[in-house]
Amino acid sequence: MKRAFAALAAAALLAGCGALQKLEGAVTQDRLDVARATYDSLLTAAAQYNERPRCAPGQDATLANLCSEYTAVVKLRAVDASVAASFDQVQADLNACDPGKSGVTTQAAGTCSSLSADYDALAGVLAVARTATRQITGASI
Amino acid sequence: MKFDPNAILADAEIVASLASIAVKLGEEVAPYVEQLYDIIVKKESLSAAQREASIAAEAALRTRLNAPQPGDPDYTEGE
Repeated sequence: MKRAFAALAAAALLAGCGALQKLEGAVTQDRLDVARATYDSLLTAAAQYNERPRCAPGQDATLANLCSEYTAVVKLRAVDASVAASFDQVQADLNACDPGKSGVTTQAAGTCSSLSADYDALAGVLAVARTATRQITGASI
Repeated sequence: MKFDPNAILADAEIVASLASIAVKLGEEVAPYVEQLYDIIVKKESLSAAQREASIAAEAALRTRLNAPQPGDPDYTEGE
């Protein structure tokens, strides 16, 4: 694990700050797994933000006083709910489209045809989630 | 674990982003960074069990995000 962190840190120095993974190319289970694992970093930041003490009325969060706004938490929760639903939809599409998967013997044509559009929708809600999480938590993600 | 710089550079943007996140959020994201390292750098696919564990970890984070805190309208004593 330490080596993985070291390798990642080295790559960061080489490449500079980057965005979350761009959902480009063919839709595959591996790509969805990467997107999910990457999103967990956003979700970690959001969960950490929720666990801060709530800011007192009229009080702003600062580095010296890390508090959270309830209304901002509500927004993070709503965005996350959209992302979760989108992940589930793409996973359902992939399950139905891959006849090699256990329990799937025929392709569900209707579901397969929506895979690309559902993946695009996922990219959209992930972008919204990234922006909201960055703005609210202050994390450089 | 064999380190392949070419494989990393091919996905530099993704990996750089994760490295940045890992530094900021610390060990809490270690499982996800390790998972990404396996998929992106080692070019390994997750097993069904690993995927299930990953989704369970995501659900646990979601529970933390949705947990009411003291002062919230939906917070009740003892939560």
